Amino acid sequence: MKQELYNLAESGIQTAKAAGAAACRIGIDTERTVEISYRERKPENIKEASTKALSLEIFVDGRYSSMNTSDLRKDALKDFIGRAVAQTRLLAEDPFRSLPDPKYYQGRQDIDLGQVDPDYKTLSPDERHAFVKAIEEACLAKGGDKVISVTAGSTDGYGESLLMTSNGFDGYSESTYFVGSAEMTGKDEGDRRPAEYGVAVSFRRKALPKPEMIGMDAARRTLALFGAKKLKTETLPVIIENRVVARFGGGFLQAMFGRGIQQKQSFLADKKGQKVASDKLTLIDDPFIKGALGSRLFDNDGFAGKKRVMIDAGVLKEFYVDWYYSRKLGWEPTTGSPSTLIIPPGKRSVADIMKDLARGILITGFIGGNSNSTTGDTSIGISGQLFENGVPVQAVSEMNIADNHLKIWPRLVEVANDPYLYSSQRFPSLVFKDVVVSGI
Amino acid sequence: MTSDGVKAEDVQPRTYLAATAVAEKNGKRERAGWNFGGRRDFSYFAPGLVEELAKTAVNRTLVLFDAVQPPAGEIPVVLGPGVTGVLLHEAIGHGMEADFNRKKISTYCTMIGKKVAEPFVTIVDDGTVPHQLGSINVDDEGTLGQKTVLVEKGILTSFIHDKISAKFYGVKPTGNGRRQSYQHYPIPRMRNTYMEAGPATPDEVIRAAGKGIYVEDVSNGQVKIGEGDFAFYVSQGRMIENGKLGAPIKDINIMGNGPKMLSNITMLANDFEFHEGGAGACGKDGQAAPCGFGQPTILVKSLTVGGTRG
Repeated sequence: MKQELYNLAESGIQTAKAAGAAACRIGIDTERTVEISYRERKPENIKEASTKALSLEIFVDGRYSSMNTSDLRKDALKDFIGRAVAQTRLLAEDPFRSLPDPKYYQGRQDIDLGQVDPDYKTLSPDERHAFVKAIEEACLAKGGDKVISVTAGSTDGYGESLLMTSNGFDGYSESTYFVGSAEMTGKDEGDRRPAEYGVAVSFRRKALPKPEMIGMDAARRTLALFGAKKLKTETLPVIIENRVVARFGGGFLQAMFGRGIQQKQSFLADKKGQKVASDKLTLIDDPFIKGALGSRLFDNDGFAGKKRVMIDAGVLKEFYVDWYYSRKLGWEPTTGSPSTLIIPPGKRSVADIMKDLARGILITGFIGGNSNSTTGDTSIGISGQLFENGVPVQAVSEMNIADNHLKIWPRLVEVANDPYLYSSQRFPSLVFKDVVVSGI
Repeated sequence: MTSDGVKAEDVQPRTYLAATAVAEKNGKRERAGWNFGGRRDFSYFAPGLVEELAKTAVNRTLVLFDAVQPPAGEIPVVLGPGVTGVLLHEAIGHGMEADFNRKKISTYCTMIGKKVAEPFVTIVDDGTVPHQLGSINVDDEGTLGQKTVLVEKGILTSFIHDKISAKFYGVKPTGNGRRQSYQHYPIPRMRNTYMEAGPATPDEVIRAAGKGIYVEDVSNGQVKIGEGDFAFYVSQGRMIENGKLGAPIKDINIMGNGPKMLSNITMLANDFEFHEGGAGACGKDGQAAPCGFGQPTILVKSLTVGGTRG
């Protein structure tokens, strides 16, 4: 299939040039996915999908467009590319659009990122069903008579991706992935039916935890929400659990992109080189971690991957600046998107940290909310556990935290030792002091 | 075309025009935007509408420089007409989708025929409203688009059905079997969900709130189907002091519980509006679907407001 993708991309570039394009970039992605879910010990859904898609970026007469098609038949593609070039000529000129300087393509590493499971093709339907059944059984057993509904699922897939430009770049990657999940809904007091999920994802099947662990995790998390209450508004230390840190941190991260900076929509625009968080926060973008979900050898511009320290002991060091916005800003480009993000873990477990905080809230879920990338203001609903002297004493829900990113990150007082591995954002649990948690 | 004899085709156009403004004042920046659209052809986007769009985006941005944070805690909340109907969609509508109820994971699953709101509250899901984003001539299972009353005079009367759930409950499909594309399977989805108007004027509703907040626009809504808990981000609003609109507010979250909020609606105004936007889509089970919504000015006795002042 790899050669087929190359042939298609080369032919597409030739067709675009013949139609008058000054330059072009073509991306081709193929994917096969299989999904299975079980409920009440019976298959609920079984789905298989095979897709191919081509994205085309055209540069012509100082104009630019980006288009997509899933019709890759030779004649249809030729017509599509011809129309794309003609339609691009109707757009306004944009002097900042061009393919990158090829010097940024140089220096690409040649290493195995561990993104392909060699045994993927041997995975049988029976193995998939057995995996999901084991997740469901474990969740049902752990949930016991509190279970209203359990849905267990598995998704796996194989994909190939090729990026090629008319100025000399080509990059190919392939990957497999495996996901196991469970969601339990339980019978709480009154009409409340708390629900939570457990999930694990990996490039390699053997790197997944045992299915029983996924099912039990979903049940444990659901049962922990039973009896949840809204408490009085109080200023407390909070611990944001590792798997939901990315959702809160996303409000900070979105202000680090060149687009927002150029459009004056970033509260971090003038903060490079300044302290924006406590010295507990170091943020590293590392594309080369084997088996990590964000690893890559090149980015969407074709830039060679590079490990970067984005925030160093609270000081903002870098932004995410792609080729286009580097030209608009007059800056040197970095990369347009994060690869695998790491906050280096601390030394203590969440349990140990909780023992030292007399009273606080462990946030295990967020709901709704948003973050204003222009001002840094953020407000988001939370659920989790009120704890006292290390012991959870009351589940909480319908509560909220509101703050400003430039004010709350300097109040980061500790980083736990538990990086979350089932995400491209491998963040550990984080501890913030003096947070207003709104309730009654 | 289906194996049970349906042959149907539909064209479901979707257009919108959006503007975002960023303003700077005394070194402080604010941003806001607006959009108009729906199932419209291009003649809708006349010069007058474009001008209105630009003015709306700018005005919504400039007002934010004066915004204050409301106190945190439980206070009365007035939801303005039109766009805040997304809260009705998220906090209440999703819980009425029949797949969640068939699986007994929605908080509404035992409430058909029961009182869920005051008698002046009627909630409808309607696929036949001209130009609204959720309007369809036929759903993705071949059932005709139609009007479905979900809550009639305070009583929960129907769920939102596709063919599977309709068969399970022994009722007729309601024309809500929708899917994102050929890659997906149909599931019960809302179309245009709205609450009918009441008799009060908007000023009377605001006066009755006394001290609270007035919500003009919300974003990033999310609901937990089982608990009924929801949260919304208020991007535009006002303080209500002594029964009158006061300083602007922004960037706060409001939280509540869908069934509780529904039963806590104490007043409805006579200013019903559909939101005339065309951007955005509802997400469920990994599928996006365009939906419409609308409501009059509504008084909710109390919701949790997340401010920075304790």
